[in-house]
Amino acid sequence: MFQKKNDLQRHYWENRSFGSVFSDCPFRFFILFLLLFYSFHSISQNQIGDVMNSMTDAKLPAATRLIPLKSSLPNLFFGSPISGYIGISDPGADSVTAKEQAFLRAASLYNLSNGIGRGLSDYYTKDDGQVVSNNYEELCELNANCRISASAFILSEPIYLQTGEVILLLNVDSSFAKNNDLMEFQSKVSLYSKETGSDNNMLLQSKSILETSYKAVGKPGGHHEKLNNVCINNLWMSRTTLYDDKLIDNSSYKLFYESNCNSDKAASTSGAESSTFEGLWYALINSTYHQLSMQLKQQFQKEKSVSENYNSNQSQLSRDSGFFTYKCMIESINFCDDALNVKIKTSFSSAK
Amino acid sequence: MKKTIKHISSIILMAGILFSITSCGTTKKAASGEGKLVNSYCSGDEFNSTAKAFRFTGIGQSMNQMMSVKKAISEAHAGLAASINTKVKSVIDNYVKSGSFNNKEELLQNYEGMTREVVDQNLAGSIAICTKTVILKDGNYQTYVCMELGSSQILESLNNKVSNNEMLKVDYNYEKFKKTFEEEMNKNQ
Repeated sequence: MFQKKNDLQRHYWENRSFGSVFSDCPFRFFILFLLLFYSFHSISQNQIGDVMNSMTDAKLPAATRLIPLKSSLPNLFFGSPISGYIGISDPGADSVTAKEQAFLRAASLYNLSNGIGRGLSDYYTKDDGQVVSNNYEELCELNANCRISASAFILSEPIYLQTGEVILLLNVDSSFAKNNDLMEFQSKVSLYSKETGSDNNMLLQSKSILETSYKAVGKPGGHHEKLNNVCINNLWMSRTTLYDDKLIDNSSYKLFYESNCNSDKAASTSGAESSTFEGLWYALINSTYHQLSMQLKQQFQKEKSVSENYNSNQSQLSRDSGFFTYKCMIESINFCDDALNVKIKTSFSSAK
Repeated sequence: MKKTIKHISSIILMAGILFSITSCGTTKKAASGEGKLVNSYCSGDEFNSTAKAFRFTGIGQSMNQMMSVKKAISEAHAGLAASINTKVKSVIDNYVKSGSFNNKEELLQNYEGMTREVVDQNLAGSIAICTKTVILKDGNYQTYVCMELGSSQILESLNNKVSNNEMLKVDYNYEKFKKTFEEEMNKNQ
């Protein structure tokens, strides 16, 4: 019985997906073209003048500065196995600050490789007989705290990119740990996603906010950082970095990197790709934490739902949630076509 | 004069649009009488519920690939929970009705409250046994996810709940309950 319901539902969704009005009749395109042509010519000279005036009154977006050089990336970004934790600074900082920032970020990845994750998602669907709409909302949080001797950190030689970013690889060897240089790390990641859609997903809108905060306390020096990325309809809308309470605004830069990949993107897409135009670190954490949240979602164990079904109206609200301890390691990173694809290895167990 | 020409031309244009919409495409399909073959994933016998496991396939659509997976998981979780809820209710009804309990109504009330809780908790251990994503013509992603949960895990969780319930454990007979459970599960086959 359940499968039958399932099949009906599937059939319904599939029929919805292919219902394009203009897909099977070229004559309709011609009519559409005529309609547009007619509409354009019906605008009088005065109306065009009004449009032009309104355009000049509108605020134009700030000019985007392009960094004209394509930076070469180390092998680390082309599928080599990664042993350790990678940290990448924002572009534009002086070398000392950039190295400190890269270290803080690498140490935070180390800290967040073993933490507590929790999440909750609501999925509301409504079919009133004429319009089918849905609303998905989710919040996923990762938390990790640790204390570790600064001597246990083994840092690679920094790699300087032409974009101004600094890359560090961090490894931890507790045999070098001392008692007098303990550092405390507090890291938190919060990922909020929302998407609404209706019939044939013509009104599909999505928003995601990724917030991370890292704090290192102790010798040799404590630093803290907060990052906030907002994406609307899969496009970057804003990103801000607060490093030691100073605002670093790189949002108007676009960054480019050399790529030598020939892979067929359509065949290899995993959904974890993240654009690198905003910098490598943003792409790295975006890809990593979106994947982690998806894998966490698969582990959700509590399910509650309420549904109503009367006349031709059907609506359902389902909520699932979970609370876990997790382990997460970056296995490899692939840069291709201005996007990073991070491969992660995870394991989960229920938190008590 | 110009206005009149405009009106006439717009009427002709609208008539043309109406003619074009009603004259091509869909009527050809109807005349041929052949349906369009629709690809379906994570469906078929191996994805149906059996005596050993509950299964449910959810479908999610989104402009973002990972979001489409999440939506599909949400739907699969909800479907799985509803399937379990219905089945466990049926098991309890049969178990209580088949026994010689003095306080049947009171027992049923207690069991119902308990099963709701069990369904809330019982998705732990569920796994995705099939995940397929396709790109639709409009560029959006559609994902199919089939989630599975073993019936033995549900029985174990249910047994733990009943055994810990002071009110219920007096009359509780695990072997008998298990038998009723398996009878109901076999109806999935």
